Amino acid sequence: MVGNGFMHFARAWFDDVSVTRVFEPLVADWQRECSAVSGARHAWCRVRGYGYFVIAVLLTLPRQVQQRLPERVTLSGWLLTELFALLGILAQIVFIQTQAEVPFILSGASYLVPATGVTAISLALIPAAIILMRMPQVRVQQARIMVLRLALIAMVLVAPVITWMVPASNQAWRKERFQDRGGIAQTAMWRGVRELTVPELLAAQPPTDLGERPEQWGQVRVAELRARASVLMMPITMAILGVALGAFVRRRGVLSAVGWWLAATMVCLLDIEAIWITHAVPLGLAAVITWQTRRRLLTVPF
Amino acid sequence: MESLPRLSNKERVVLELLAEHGELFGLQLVEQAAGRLKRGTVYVTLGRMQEKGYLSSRQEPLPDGAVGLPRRLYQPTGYALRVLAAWRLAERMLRDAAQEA
Repeated sequence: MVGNGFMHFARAWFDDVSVTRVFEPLVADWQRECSAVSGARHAWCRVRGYGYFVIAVLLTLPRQVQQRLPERVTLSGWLLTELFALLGILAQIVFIQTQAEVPFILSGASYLVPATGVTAISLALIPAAIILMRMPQVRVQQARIMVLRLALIAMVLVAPVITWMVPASNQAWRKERFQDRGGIAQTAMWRGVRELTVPELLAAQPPTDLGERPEQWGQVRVAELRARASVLMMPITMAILGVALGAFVRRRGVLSAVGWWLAATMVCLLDIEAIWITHAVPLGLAAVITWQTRRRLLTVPF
Repeated sequence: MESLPRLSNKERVVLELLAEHGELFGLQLVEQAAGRLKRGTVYVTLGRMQEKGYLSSRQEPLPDGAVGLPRRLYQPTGYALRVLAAWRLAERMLRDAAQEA
Protein backbone atom coordinates (compact mmCIF):
# COMPACT_ATOMS: atom_id res chain seq x y z
CA MET A 1 0.00 0.00 0.00
CA VAL A 2 1.33 3.41 -0.93
CA GLY A 3 2.69 5.33 2.05
CA ASN A 4 3.19 2.39 4.42
CA GLY A 5 6.98 2.74 4.29
CA PHE A 6 6.65 6.44 5.04
CA MET A 7 4.48 5.68 8.06
CA HIS A 8 7.18 3.30 9.36
CA PHE A 9 9.69 6.11 8.97
CA ALA A 10 7.41 8.64 10.67
CA ARG A 11 6.68 6.32 13.61
CA ALA A 12 10.39 5.60 14.03
CA TRP A 13 11.51 9.23 14.06
CA PHE A 14 8.59 11.37 15.25
CA ASP A 15 6.57 11.56 18.45
CA ASP A 16 3.05 10.16 18.69
CA VAL A 17 1.37 13.58 18.50
CA SER A 18 3.12 14.47 15.24
CA VAL A 19 2.36 11.04 13.81
CA THR A 20 -1.34 11.25 14.71
CA ARG A 21 -1.89 14.87 13.76
CA VAL A 22 0.35 15.30 10.72
CA PHE A 23 1.57 12.09 9.11
CA GLU A 24 -1.42 9.77 9.49
CA PRO A 25 -3.94 12.21 7.93
CA LEU A 26 -1.47 13.06 5.17
CA VAL A 27 -0.83 9.43 4.27
CA ALA A 28 -4.53 8.46 4.68
CA ASP A 29 -5.64 11.15 2.22
CA TRP A 30 -2.78 10.23 -0.09
CA GLN A 31 -3.74 6.53 -0.05
CA ARG A 32 -7.38 7.35 -0.77
CA GLU A 33 -6.44 9.74 -3.56
CA CYS A 34 -4.11 7.21 -5.24
CA SER A 35 -6.53 4.32 -4.89
CA ALA A 36 -9.11 6.30 -6.88
CA VAL A 37 -6.89 6.57 -9.98
CA SER A 38 -4.89 4.12 -12.08
CA GLY A 39 -2.08 3.97 -14.63
CA ALA A 40 -0.03 7.08 -15.19
CA ARG A 41 -2.25 9.13 -12.88
CA HIS A 42 -1.60 6.65 -10.08
CA ALA A 43 2.16 6.92 -10.66
CA TRP A 44 1.91 10.72 -10.65
CA CYS A 45 -0.16 10.60 -7.45
CA ARG A 46 2.58 8.53 -5.78
CA VAL A 47 5.34 10.88 -6.88
CA ARG A 48 3.47 13.95 -5.63
CA GLY A 49 2.86 12.17 -2.33
CA TYR A 50 6.61 11.71 -1.83
CA GLY A 51 7.02 15.45 -2.18
CA TYR A 52 4.20 16.23 0.28
CA PHE A 53 5.71 13.84 2.79
CA VAL A 54 9.17 15.37 2.52
CA ILE A 55 7.70 18.87 3.04
CA ALA A 56 5.76 17.65 6.08
CA VAL A 57 8.93 16.06 7.51
CA LEU A 58 10.89 19.29 7.04
CA LEU A 59 8.15 21.39 8.65
CA THR A 60 7.70 19.01 11.59
CA LEU A 61 11.41 18.51 12.21
CA PRO A 62 12.03 21.78 14.14
CA ARG A 63 9.28 20.96 16.62
CA GLN A 64 10.64 17.45 17.00
CA VAL A 65 14.19 18.63 17.63
CA GLN A 66 13.02 21.21 20.16
CA GLN A 67 11.23 18.56 22.20
CA ARG A 68 12.41 18.56 25.81
CA LEU A 69 14.43 15.52 26.76
CA PRO A 70 15.44 14.28 30.22
CA GLU A 71 18.75 15.76 31.32
CA ARG A 72 20.49 12.39 31.42
CA VAL A 73 19.71 11.81 27.73
CA THR A 74 20.97 15.25 26.69
CA LEU A 75 24.09 14.99 28.81
CA SER A 76 24.87 11.44 27.70
CA GLY A 77 24.45 12.43 24.05
CA TRP A 78 26.79 15.40 24.34
CA LEU A 79 29.44 13.61 26.36
CA LEU A 80 29.48 10.53 24.14
CA THR A 81 29.71 12.54 20.93
CA GLU A 82 32.47 14.78 22.24
CA LEU A 83 34.44 11.83 23.59
CA PHE A 84 34.24 9.85 20.34
CA ALA A 85 34.93 12.97 18.25
CA LEU A 86 38.06 13.68 20.27
CA LEU A 87 39.25 10.10 19.88
CA GLY A 88 38.52 10.29 16.17
CA ILE A 89 40.52 13.51 15.75
CA LEU A 90 43.52 12.04 17.58
CA ALA A 91 43.37 8.80 15.58
CA GLN A 92 43.22 10.64 12.27
CA ILE A 93 46.05 13.04 13.12
CA VAL A 94 48.34 10.17 14.03
CA PHE A 95 47.29 8.32 10.85
CA ILE A 96 47.88 11.30 8.53
CA GLN A 97 51.16 12.30 10.11
CA THR A 98 52.38 8.74 9.69
CA GLN A 99 51.28 8.62 6.04
CA ALA A 100 52.81 12.04 5.28
CA GLU A 101 56.32 10.70 6.00
CA VAL A 102 57.31 13.78 7.96
CA PRO A 103 58.31 13.93 11.61
CA PHE A 104 55.41 14.53 13.98
CA ILE A 105 55.14 18.25 14.73
CA LEU A 106 52.63 19.93 16.98
CA SER A 107 51.87 22.85 14.64
CA GLY A 108 51.27 20.38 11.79
CA ALA A 109 48.86 18.50 14.00
CA SER A 110 46.98 21.69 14.83
CA TYR A 111 46.48 22.42 11.11
CA LEU A 112 44.83 19.04 10.77
CA VAL A 113 42.25 19.63 13.50
CA PRO A 114 39.56 21.33 11.34
CA ALA A 115 39.64 18.70 8.58
CA THR A 116 39.82 15.76 10.95
CA GLY A 117 37.20 17.34 13.20
CA VAL A 118 34.68 17.41 10.36
CA THR A 119 34.87 13.67 9.78
CA ALA A 120 35.40 12.83 13.45
CA ILE A 121 32.21 14.62 14.59
CA SER A 122 30.19 12.81 11.93
CA LEU A 123 31.73 9.44 12.70
CA ALA A 124 31.30 9.99 16.44
CA LEU A 125 27.55 9.92 15.89
CA ILE A 126 27.67 6.20 15.04
CA PRO A 127 28.99 4.90 18.38
CA ALA A 128 27.16 7.65 20.31
CA ALA A 129 23.86 6.66 18.69
CA ILE A 130 24.47 2.97 19.28
CA ILE A 131 25.23 3.44 22.96
CA LEU A 132 22.32 5.86 23.49
CA MET A 133 19.95 3.44 21.81
CA ARG A 134 21.13 0.62 24.07
CA MET A 135 20.95 2.51 27.36
CA PRO A 136 18.24 0.73 29.35
CA GLN A 137 17.08 3.89 31.13
CA VAL A 138 16.71 5.87 27.86
CA ARG A 139 13.60 5.43 25.77
CA VAL A 140 14.38 4.56 22.16
CA GLN A 141 12.46 7.49 20.74
CA GLN A 142 14.26 9.93 23.04
CA ALA A 143 17.58 8.49 21.90
CA ARG A 144 16.59 8.96 18.27
CA ILE A 145 15.60 12.59 18.86
CA MET A 146 18.88 13.24 20.66
CA VAL A 147 20.89 11.72 17.82
CA LEU A 148 18.92 13.75 15.29
CA ARG A 149 19.54 16.90 17.30
CA LEU A 150 23.27 16.14 17.50
CA ALA A 151 23.39 15.53 13.75
CA LEU A 152 21.71 18.84 12.95
CA ILE A 153 24.01 20.71 15.31
CA ALA A 154 26.98 18.95 13.70
CA MET A 155 25.81 20.12 10.28
CA VAL A 156 25.59 23.72 11.51
CA LEU A 157 29.14 23.42 12.89
CA VAL A 158 30.54 21.69 9.83
CA ALA A 159 29.23 24.22 7.27
CA PRO A 160 31.58 27.14 8.15
CA VAL A 161 34.47 24.77 8.83
CA ILE A 162 34.41 23.23 5.34
CA THR A 163 33.73 26.62 3.78
CA TRP A 164 36.66 28.55 5.27
CA MET A 165 38.63 26.81 8.02
CA VAL A 166 39.58 23.57 6.29
CA PRO A 167 40.87 25.31 3.12
CA ALA A 168 42.97 27.71 5.20
CA SER A 169 44.39 24.99 7.42
CA ASN A 170 45.11 22.72 4.43
CA GLN A 171 47.19 25.46 2.84
CA ALA A 172 49.01 26.23 6.07
CA TRP A 173 49.81 22.55 6.54
CA ARG A 174 51.24 22.23 3.00
CA LYS A 175 53.44 25.28 3.46
CA GLU A 176 54.68 23.91 6.75
CA ARG A 177 55.61 20.63 5.04
CA PHE A 178 57.56 22.43 2.30
CA GLN A 179 59.38 24.51 4.86
CA ASP A 180 60.40 21.34 6.69
CA ARG A 181 61.92 20.04 3.45
CA GLY A 182 64.13 23.09 3.10
CA GLY A 183 62.54 26.32 1.98
CA ILE A 184 59.37 27.17 0.07
CA ALA A 185 59.36 25.96 -3.54
CA GLN A 186 57.29 27.57 -6.30
CA THR A 187 54.63 24.87 -6.03
CA ALA A 188 54.18 25.67 -2.36
CA MET A 189 52.91 29.10 -3.35
CA TRP A 190 50.12 27.60 -5.43
CA ARG A 191 46.89 26.45 -3.94
CA GLY A 192 45.24 23.13 -4.53
CA VAL A 193 41.50 22.85 -4.98
CA ARG A 194 41.07 21.72 -1.39
CA GLU A 195 42.64 24.98 -0.29
CA LEU A 196 39.94 27.14 -1.87
CA THR A 197 37.01 28.50 0.09
CA VAL A 198 33.48 27.75 -1.09
CA PRO A 199 32.94 31.35 -2.38
CA GLU A 200 36.13 30.92 -4.46
CA LEU A 201 34.84 27.61 -5.80
CA LEU A 202 31.54 29.23 -6.75
CA ALA A 203 33.29 31.95 -8.79
CA ALA A 204 33.17 31.63 -12.58
CA GLN A 205 36.94 32.14 -12.92
CA PRO A 206 39.59 30.26 -10.95
CA PRO A 207 41.86 32.26 -8.60
CA THR A 208 45.21 33.17 -10.16
CA ASP A 209 47.21 31.09 -7.68
CA LEU A 210 45.34 27.87 -8.39
CA GLY A 211 47.69 25.04 -9.31
CA GLU A 212 45.13 23.33 -11.62
CA ARG A 213 44.93 24.24 -15.31
CA PRO A 214 42.14 26.82 -15.94
CA GLU A 215 40.45 24.74 -18.70
CA GLN A 216 39.73 22.07 -16.10
CA TRP A 217 38.19 24.59 -13.70
CA GLY A 218 34.59 23.61 -14.36
CA GLN A 219 35.13 19.91 -13.68
CA VAL A 220 37.45 20.54 -10.76
CA ARG A 221 35.14 22.86 -8.90
CA VAL A 222 32.02 20.76 -9.48
CA ALA A 223 33.81 17.69 -8.10
CA GLU A 224 35.06 19.62 -5.08
CA LEU A 225 31.69 21.25 -4.33
CA ARG A 226 30.04 17.84 -4.59
CA ALA A 227 32.56 16.36 -2.20
CA ARG A 228 32.01 19.17 0.30
CA ALA A 229 28.23 18.79 0.03
CA SER A 230 28.64 15.12 0.85
CA VAL A 231 30.76 16.02 3.88
CA LEU A 232 27.99 18.38 5.01
CA MET A 233 25.45 15.58 4.76
CA MET A 234 27.71 13.14 6.58
CA PRO A 235 26.34 13.78 10.12
CA ILE A 236 22.81 12.90 9.03
CA THR A 237 24.03 9.78 7.21
CA MET A 238 26.06 8.66 10.19
CA ALA A 239 23.21 9.40 12.61
CA ILE A 240 20.82 7.22 10.59
CA LEU A 241 23.43 4.49 10.42
CA GLY A 242 24.05 4.68 14.16
CA VAL A 243 20.34 4.52 14.97
CA ALA A 244 19.88 1.58 12.61
CA LEU A 245 22.81 -0.26 14.15
CA GLY A 246 21.64 0.55 17.67
CA ALA A 247 18.26 -0.97 16.93
CA PHE A 248 19.72 -3.96 15.13
CA VAL A 249 22.47 -5.33 17.29
CA ARG A 250 21.45 -6.58 20.70
CA ARG A 251 24.66 -7.20 22.53
CA ARG A 252 26.53 -4.09 23.56
CA GLY A 253 30.02 -5.50 22.95
CA VAL A 254 29.17 -6.48 19.42
CA LEU A 255 27.57 -3.16 18.65
CA SER A 256 30.56 -1.17 19.67
CA ALA A 257 32.75 -3.41 17.54
CA VAL A 258 30.53 -2.94 14.49
CA GLY A 259 30.38 0.82 15.00
CA TRP A 260 34.10 1.13 15.42
CA TRP A 261 34.84 -1.15 12.49
CA LEU A 262 32.80 1.17 10.27
CA ALA A 263 34.39 4.25 11.78
CA ALA A 264 37.89 2.85 11.30
CA THR A 265 37.14 1.90 7.69
CA MET A 266 36.05 5.41 6.93
CA VAL A 267 38.97 7.02 8.74
CA CYS A 268 41.30 5.05 6.47
CA LEU A 269 39.50 6.36 3.38
CA LEU A 270 40.45 9.95 3.92
CA ASP A 271 40.70 10.90 0.25
CA ILE A 272 37.96 13.47 -0.32
CA GLU A 273 36.84 11.65 -3.51
CA ALA A 274 36.47 8.47 -1.50
CA ILE A 275 33.89 10.14 0.74
CA TRP A 276 31.31 9.45 -1.95
CA ILE A 277 32.13 5.78 -1.71
CA THR A 278 32.06 5.83 2.07
CA HIS A 279 28.70 7.55 1.92
CA ALA A 280 27.27 5.03 -0.48
CA VAL A 281 28.31 2.08 1.67
CA PRO A 282 26.79 3.23 5.01
CA LEU A 283 23.69 4.51 3.26
CA GLY A 284 23.14 1.18 1.57
CA LEU A 285 23.95 -0.68 4.75
CA ALA A 286 21.61 1.52 6.80
CA ALA A 287 18.86 0.94 4.24
CA VAL A 288 19.31 -2.83 4.35
CA ILE A 289 19.49 -2.95 8.14
CA THR A 290 16.46 -0.69 8.50
CA TRP A 291 14.54 -2.85 6.05
CA GLN A 292 15.51 -6.08 7.76
CA THR A 293 14.70 -4.77 11.22
CA ARG A 294 11.60 -2.80 10.33
CA ARG A 295 9.36 -4.93 12.44
CA ARG A 296 11.71 -4.77 15.38
CA LEU A 297 12.00 -0.98 15.11
CA LEU A 298 8.25 -0.66 15.20
CA THR A 299 7.76 -2.93 18.16
CA VAL A 300 10.20 -1.01 20.32
CA PRO A 301 8.02 0.51 23.08
CA PHE A 302 7.85 4.30 22.78
CA MET B 1 -1.84 39.90 30.73
CA GLU B 2 -3.02 36.89 28.76
CA SER B 3 -1.95 37.07 25.13
CA LEU B 4 -4.60 37.47 22.45
CA PRO B 5 -5.44 34.48 20.28
CA ARG B 6 -3.56 34.61 17.00
CA LEU B 7 -4.84 33.58 13.61
CA SER B 8 -2.50 33.26 10.64
CA ASN B 9 -3.78 33.68 7.08
CA LYS B 10 -3.76 29.93 6.49
CA GLU B 11 -5.53 29.25 9.79
CA ARG B 12 -8.18 31.78 8.87
CA VAL B 13 -8.75 30.13 5.48
CA VAL B 14 -9.14 26.76 7.22
CA LEU B 15 -11.60 28.18 9.76
CA GLU B 16 -13.64 29.98 7.12
CA LEU B 17 -13.96 26.81 5.06
CA LEU B 18 -14.87 24.70 8.07
CA ALA B 19 -17.34 27.32 9.30
CA GLU B 20 -18.99 27.12 5.89
CA HIS B 21 -18.92 23.34 5.36
CA GLY B 22 -18.94 22.02 8.92
CA GLU B 23 -16.60 19.06 8.59
CA LEU B 24 -13.93 18.36 5.96
CA PHE B 25 -10.90 16.15 5.27
CA GLY B 26 -7.49 17.74 4.76
CA LEU B 27 -7.60 16.97 1.05
CA GLN B 28 -11.05 18.53 0.72
CA LEU B 29 -9.81 21.66 2.47
CA VAL B 30 -7.04 22.01 -0.11
CA GLU B 31 -9.49 21.52 -2.97
CA GLN B 32 -11.98 24.02 -1.53
CA ALA B 33 -9.29 26.60 -0.80
CA ALA B 34 -8.55 27.11 -4.51
CA GLY B 35 -4.81 27.52 -4.12
CA ARG B 36 -4.81 29.30 -0.77
CA LEU B 37 -3.79 26.10 1.04
CA LYS B 38 -1.00 23.80 -0.10
CA ARG B 39 -1.14 20.04 0.16
CA GLY B 40 2.32 19.67 1.69
CA THR B 41 1.72 22.18 4.48
CA VAL B 42 -1.97 21.84 5.29
CA TYR B 43 -1.55 18.90 7.68
CA VAL B 44 1.08 20.77 9.69
CA THR B 45 -1.29 23.74 9.88
CA LEU B 46 -4.16 21.48 10.94
CA GLY B 47 -1.99 19.86 13.61
CA ARG B 48 -0.98 23.26 14.97
CA MET B 49 -4.61 24.40 15.02
CA GLN B 50 -5.59 21.32 17.01
CA GLU B 51 -2.86 22.15 19.48
CA LYS B 52 -4.21 25.70 19.82
CA GLY B 53 -7.70 24.35 20.46
CA TYR B 54 -9.15 25.71 17.20
CA LEU B 55 -10.03 22.33 15.75
CA SER B 56 -11.24 18.97 16.88
CA SER B 57 -11.00 15.89 14.71
CA ARG B 58 -12.25 12.35 14.40
CA GLN B 59 -11.23 9.41 12.29
CA GLU B 60 -13.57 8.38 9.53
CA PRO B 61 -14.72 4.77 10.03
CA LEU B 62 -13.16 2.63 7.31
CA PRO B 63 -15.70 1.31 4.83
CA ASP B 64 -15.97 -2.49 4.56
CA GLY B 65 -13.14 -3.95 2.53
CA ALA B 66 -11.23 -0.71 2.47
CA VAL B 67 -7.49 -0.87 3.08
CA GLY B 68 -5.12 1.80 4.30
CA LEU B 69 -5.27 4.31 7.09
CA PRO B 70 -8.59 5.86 8.13
CA ARG B 71 -8.89 9.50 7.06
CA ARG B 72 -9.29 12.32 9.56
CA LEU B 73 -12.21 14.75 9.54
CA TYR B 74 -11.80 18.21 11.03
CA GLN B 75 -14.39 20.50 12.58
CA PRO B 76 -13.98 23.94 14.20
CA THR B 77 -14.40 24.30 17.96
CA GLY B 78 -16.73 26.90 19.47
CA TYR B 79 -13.67 28.79 20.66
CA ALA B 80 -12.32 28.94 17.09
CA LEU B 81 -15.61 30.25 15.74
CA ARG B 82 -15.64 32.99 18.37
CA VAL B 83 -12.04 33.91 17.49
CA LEU B 84 -12.97 34.02 13.81
CA ALA B 85 -16.01 36.22 14.52
CA ALA B 86 -13.89 38.58 16.63
CA TRP B 87 -11.25 38.66 13.89
CA ARG B 88 -13.82 39.55 11.23
CA LEU B 89 -15.31 42.26 13.46
CA ALA B 90 -11.89 43.76 14.19
CA GLU B 91 -11.07 43.71 10.49
CA ARG B 92 -14.33 45.46 9.60
CA MET B 93 -13.81 48.12 12.25
CA LEU B 94 -10.26 48.76 11.07
CA ARG B 95 -11.44 49.05 7.48
CA ASP B 96 -14.22 51.49 8.47
CA ALA B 97 -11.78 53.56 10.51
CA ALA B 98 -9.37 53.69 7.57
CA GLN B 99 -12.13 54.85 5.24
CA GLU B 100 -13.25 57.56 7.67
CA ALA B 101 -9.69 58.83 7.97
